Amino acid sequence: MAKRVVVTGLGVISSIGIGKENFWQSLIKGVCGVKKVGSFDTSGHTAHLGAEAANFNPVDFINKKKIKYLGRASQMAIASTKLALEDAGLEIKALKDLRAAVSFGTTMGEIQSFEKADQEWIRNGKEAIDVLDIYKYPSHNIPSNVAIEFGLKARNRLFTTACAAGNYAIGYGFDLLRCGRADLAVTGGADVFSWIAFTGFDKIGAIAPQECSPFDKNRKGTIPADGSAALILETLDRALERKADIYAEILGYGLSCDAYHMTSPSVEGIAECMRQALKDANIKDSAVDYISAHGTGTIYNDRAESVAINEVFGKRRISVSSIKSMLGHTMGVASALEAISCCLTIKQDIIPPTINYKTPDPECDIDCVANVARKQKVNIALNNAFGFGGNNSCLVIKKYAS
Amino acid sequence: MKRKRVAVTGIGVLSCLGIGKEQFWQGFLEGRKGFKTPSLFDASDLETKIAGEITDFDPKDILGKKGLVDLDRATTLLLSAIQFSLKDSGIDIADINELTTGISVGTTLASLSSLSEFDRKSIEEGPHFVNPSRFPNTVINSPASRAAIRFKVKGPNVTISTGFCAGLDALEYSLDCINFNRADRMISAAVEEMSLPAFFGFNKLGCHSGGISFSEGASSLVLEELSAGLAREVNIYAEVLGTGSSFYPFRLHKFHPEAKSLIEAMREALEDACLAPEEIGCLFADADSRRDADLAQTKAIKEVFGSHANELPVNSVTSIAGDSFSASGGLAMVAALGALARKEAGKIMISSSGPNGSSTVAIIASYN
Repeated sequence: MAKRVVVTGLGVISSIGIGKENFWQSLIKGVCGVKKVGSFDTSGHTAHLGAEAANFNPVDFINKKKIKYLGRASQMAIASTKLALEDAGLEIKALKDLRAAVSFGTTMGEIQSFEKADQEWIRNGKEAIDVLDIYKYPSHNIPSNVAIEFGLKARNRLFTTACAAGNYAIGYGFDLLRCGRADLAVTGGADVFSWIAFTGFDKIGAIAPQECSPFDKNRKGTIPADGSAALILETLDRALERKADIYAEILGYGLSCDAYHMTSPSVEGIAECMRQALKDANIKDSAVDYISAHGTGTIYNDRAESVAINEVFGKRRISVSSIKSMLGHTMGVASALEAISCCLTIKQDIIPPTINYKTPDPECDIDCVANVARKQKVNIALNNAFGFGGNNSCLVIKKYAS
Repeated sequence: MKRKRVAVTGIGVLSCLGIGKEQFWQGFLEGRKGFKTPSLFDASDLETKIAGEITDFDPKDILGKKGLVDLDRATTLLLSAIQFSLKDSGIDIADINELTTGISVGTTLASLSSLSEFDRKSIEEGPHFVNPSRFPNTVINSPASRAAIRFKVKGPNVTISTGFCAGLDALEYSLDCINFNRADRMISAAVEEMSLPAFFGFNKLGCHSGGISFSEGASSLVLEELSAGLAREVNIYAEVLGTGSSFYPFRLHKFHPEAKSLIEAMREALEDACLAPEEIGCLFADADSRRDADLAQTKAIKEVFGSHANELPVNSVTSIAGDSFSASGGLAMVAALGALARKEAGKIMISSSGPNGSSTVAIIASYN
């Protein structure tokens, strides 16, 4: 018999708040994290906005001596994990005796270490590179550093499935617990602000000049962002035994691949992914109350996602919102932040809005919870995430009931 | 949870020993090493001057001329390996349900040269002068996604970047997909490409001196339920009996002297396969001639196999095919499948472990 898996701790590093409480208050108030990019000079680019977790300071979370050996993505991952473990009421000492897995997702990994080394190479030759940057770069350092910091001794994975990676990582943690390979899993994602990603998105015209306005007729693109999210997953038995506060239950997830185009989404692939998720969770489409959309704010994504939602859910109006309107697109960590938002939505029965929504788009014929948070009972939420290359993932999260 | 019996029915491989599985296996029989002066870049000013490069690789010969323009080396290597394995298994994706086939790829540095090329252009000429059609190559999942596009594979598509263990981690993920009913068959692959940034990086970290010979490689295995393979009446190379994986927190880039994660992973794999240590006929170890790595391997073997360690043949694929980082587990799997095909070993254990604290182990055997 497969074990039931629940979420018992949440940790957030984001442009709209550090810690789940600040994050949640910003989400339901519709606070926007978008500002002028601070990580680098954008005078050579067409776009200039980003949603950086600029308030994140590693010394608030990590011993000073260790910081220089950690890339910024690892620093953020450790910080969000620390917040999530505290939120779950778990003592670090107690983790040593558990089979605690780590499963994270990322798009760009420790890209800032690479960019620093590469710029040195280009300007001053490869011998000028600081070896520490090479040491910090390999992306699998992210989950390894989390495990080393907290003494976590089970499977350790990094999923690099672009902007869908967070859901892949959470789904994997869910599978490990379900089949008894781990007692606890730290799952989530980390992505840092990247010159290369910003330059690429800028060049393909995917960055909005002023705001990220998903599902709006005049939407002009997404806003690159960074941050980290961690969710503590435990088997229900363990959570009950230690009387943990349970946010929600993970019911299952679906994966699919468009096998169509590297950057353009496909309705068929997205619809298939949601169907796989419903099948894996063993629920009917009528049971779903809310969809946390991928909703990037680009013309193509929002149209394809809206059409796919209507295809899977028929004529029924379902509440759909995109918190990327506030957070921008945090890449590989986006779906992990959105999973946290879903857990809090389910716990509080409040749906965060899609802000910046002004003009309805007949091609995005969905109820996008425009501009203002909505009080609504949410029993089951779907969390959509689609990445470059047509990597699609959809997580099913349910209100916990014994 | 009741486990399905999963078989390997197709193999594709490209390594510094040559292109295709016969060349690869022949290389082992001859003990032929694949290292030479690299042709892809100038290594004359580096401490290490030899690399495990795949020479004579022209993707057009294998994949045809169409659709190769924007693909980087890692991607064409991966596509070639997958094409070989699909042909070998007799599967035509067009004939089957494309939704029930998935791909899992182990790679950590696949995007490195593309990142480097894109970044250089953006800095030397300015952000407006980058080539937008090269941008998708900067994400690590680009090879796996392009494989899905090329072969029309619409099931789960996963890229796992776990360093030295990624090849076997991708294999285990494929088994999970079949066991959890996410796919009927999986293409389990691994790839790393030779590039100056990767070679230079290994060099700088001191992995070359008295240690790793960095090489590139790509492998692909077609995995399906044993019953499906038997029903198709295709060659069953092997059955995957079990896997194990563990992490022991120590220090980044340092092997734990007690090899705790490797011991744990080996034991878990034995338990998963319902085997006693004495039933293992041969070990394909991930020894790569770094002193601390090899000491840890030896420690783990003695600890897990006890007195059987004295009779257990242990080899290192790395000594011949070089260390291809995330592709190394995949190459070791293909080497082990070659040993099974020649009936030269009983049940084979394949191990991989990295200095970050990870270890993953698989056990395979001939089907009879």
